[in-house]
Amino acid sequence: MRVTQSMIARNIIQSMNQSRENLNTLQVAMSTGKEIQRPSNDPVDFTRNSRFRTAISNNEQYLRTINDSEGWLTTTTDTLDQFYQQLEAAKELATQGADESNSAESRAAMAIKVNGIIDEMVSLVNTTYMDKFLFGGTATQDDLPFDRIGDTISYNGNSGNITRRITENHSVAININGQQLLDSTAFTAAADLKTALETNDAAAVRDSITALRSAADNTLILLTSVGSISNQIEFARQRLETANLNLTSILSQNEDVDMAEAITLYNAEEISYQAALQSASNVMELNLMQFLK
Amino acid sequence: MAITSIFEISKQSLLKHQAAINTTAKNIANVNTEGYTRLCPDFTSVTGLGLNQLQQGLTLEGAVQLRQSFAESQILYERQDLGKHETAELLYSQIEEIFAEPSDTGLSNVMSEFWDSWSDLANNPESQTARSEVKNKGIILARSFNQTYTQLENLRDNLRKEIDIRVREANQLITQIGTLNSQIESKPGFDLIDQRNQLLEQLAEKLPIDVLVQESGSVIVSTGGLVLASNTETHLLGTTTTADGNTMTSHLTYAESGRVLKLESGELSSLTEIHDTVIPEYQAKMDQMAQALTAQSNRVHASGYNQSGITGINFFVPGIDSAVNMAVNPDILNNPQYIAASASASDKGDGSVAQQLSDLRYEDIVNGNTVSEAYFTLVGDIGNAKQSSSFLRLNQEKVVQNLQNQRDAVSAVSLDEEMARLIQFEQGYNAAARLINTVDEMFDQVLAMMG
Repeated sequence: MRVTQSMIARNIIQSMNQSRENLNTLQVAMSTGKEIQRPSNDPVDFTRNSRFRTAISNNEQYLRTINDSEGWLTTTTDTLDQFYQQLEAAKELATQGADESNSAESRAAMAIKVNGIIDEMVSLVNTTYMDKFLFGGTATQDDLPFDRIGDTISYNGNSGNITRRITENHSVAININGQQLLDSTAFTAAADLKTALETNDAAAVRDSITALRSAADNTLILLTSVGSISNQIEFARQRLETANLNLTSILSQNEDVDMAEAITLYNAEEISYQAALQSASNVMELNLMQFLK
Repeated sequence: MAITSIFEISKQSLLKHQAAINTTAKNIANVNTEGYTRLCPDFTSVTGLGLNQLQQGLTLEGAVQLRQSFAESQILYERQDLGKHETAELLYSQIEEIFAEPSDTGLSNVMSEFWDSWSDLANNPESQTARSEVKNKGIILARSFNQTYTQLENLRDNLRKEIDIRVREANQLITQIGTLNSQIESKPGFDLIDQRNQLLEQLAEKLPIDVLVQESGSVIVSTGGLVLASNTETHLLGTTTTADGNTMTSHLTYAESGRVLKLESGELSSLTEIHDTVIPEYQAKMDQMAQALTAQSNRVHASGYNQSGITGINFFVPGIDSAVNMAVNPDILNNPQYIAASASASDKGDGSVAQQLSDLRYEDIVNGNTVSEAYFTLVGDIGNAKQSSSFLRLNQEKVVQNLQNQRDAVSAVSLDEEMARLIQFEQGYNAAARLINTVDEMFDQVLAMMG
């Protein structure tokens, strides 16, 4: 084949451009650490990676929800625990008050203590977490959920559930509402004890021991149910964290540059580029005129 | 045989070699002229140079032009595809940049943040801060849709201008080819033919053409059976636009009859295809997503109650016909407290409606797909189109380059060859001169004999 100056020049320019383009692609990949800059680099991987990224971002949102719910549940547990302690204290007083040796005066003194316990219990069930009532159902911000008028405790909240979406298909109710607390008969048992002590009625005081015991048991059941919700949430958290760890590592495998490979390719490309430049300069200098006088 | 006839032969030889050196000089002078076809001195009356069949020669000005016609006509043909793929690659990469995926500012991320803001509100249905966050993410989402759509529309507007510019360029080329045709017929010349070939290559990049070389040296250029330029006439191209609803379609026409041309290759084919069908298709998909997002968000939102018990409010402006009109309801813009989160007026601590809205991300609301899945498919399609046009362009470049090399192997100037020829012709010239000297001495001898 007859090879002319124009063919040599065209081929040299083409191969230099090709090398420069390859070097540029590798350089961009190495400097960003990403294999895929734009969908056209690999449309199939792009679509798959996008799904992974969406899944990761969704899971992160669930983890945020879980963090928030855990605070709520911890406060609920602590509060119910204290509530239970108050019932225990009332039961203690009832046991003392049931003793026949007590005088009317000493029972009256005990009644004042029980009165304090009832106040403390009401204040506990009006606890807030981040400005929201823990035990008001979904009436989280209006009037106090519990009012005490005399020995009657009234509940202003509702029996609504506060639900949290902790994974794609799983929602849990994270609250114990005031109705459940009323139903535990804790308040009526304490009020009955107070009345019995005030009226110096030893038999009634004895009866209230049983009532307080069953109220304390009911409160424990509520505490257990909160614990089981906490477990569910903790389980979901572990699952989400594991899922995200896996997704992130798959994403990284798909998308991140293998540096060792990229550097090797870059060096190889650089060598071929230098060879192209060197041979080009040799070939272009070479012509008959150098040999003619 | 008279001695004087040797004088005559020698004189002719001198002139021939002088002309040959002249031809060599011209070749060397044009070594870097794009489209120049080398000349070969015409020694046919003295001896044949043995040109092979491919190298069809045209004898003029005492020289032969060496052409590789087969490669030349193939180059014309392949350039049409090159023009098509080059333009398509460029445009698809512009479209890809409009979507800017994957990135933090891309629509997919904006959508995620929008859903997340609703989930945050579901966790804190009483919070005004969460509400204003929902409002802000809604604004960003709507704006992202507006912007993407508008940028696509701007690209289309520019394409319309670009088509007009290319058509004007093509018309200029057609006119020039017509002029060269008549010049070549009246006064043939190598330079004119080279120049015309250059113009034909340029024209072929823009639209598919057929070229027929006439006996007289002029060419008939046609596209789709319609003559653009011949030895006597030229016919120009034009554009018309037809409006179909909101969509403007741009057509390339044969200016005289207004007949619409359907192009299969060339830059203009990519420009019109992307303008007429590709971008409107992408815009229609954006419209579908925006409409689905609007309708579904509104449906869920209107069923919910805000903290003051207000219900039935739309989150987005309802009933939009295009992504460019997507917007957050002005009532909500002014009063973010209108944002509903609860399923009933009394359940202020209930965030189930906000949760439902956040869960729309999993619902198949766009043609049986989730919004993000529909979006990824769209962006993946664009990536595919860009990738395949890049690939075709690269291939086509190699095809054209190969053909150019084949053509140049015959018709381009090689300096080494010219230098060798120069020495060859110089020696021929010297020999002819020596011959005259010898004949002169012979005459002297004859005259001396008469002495």
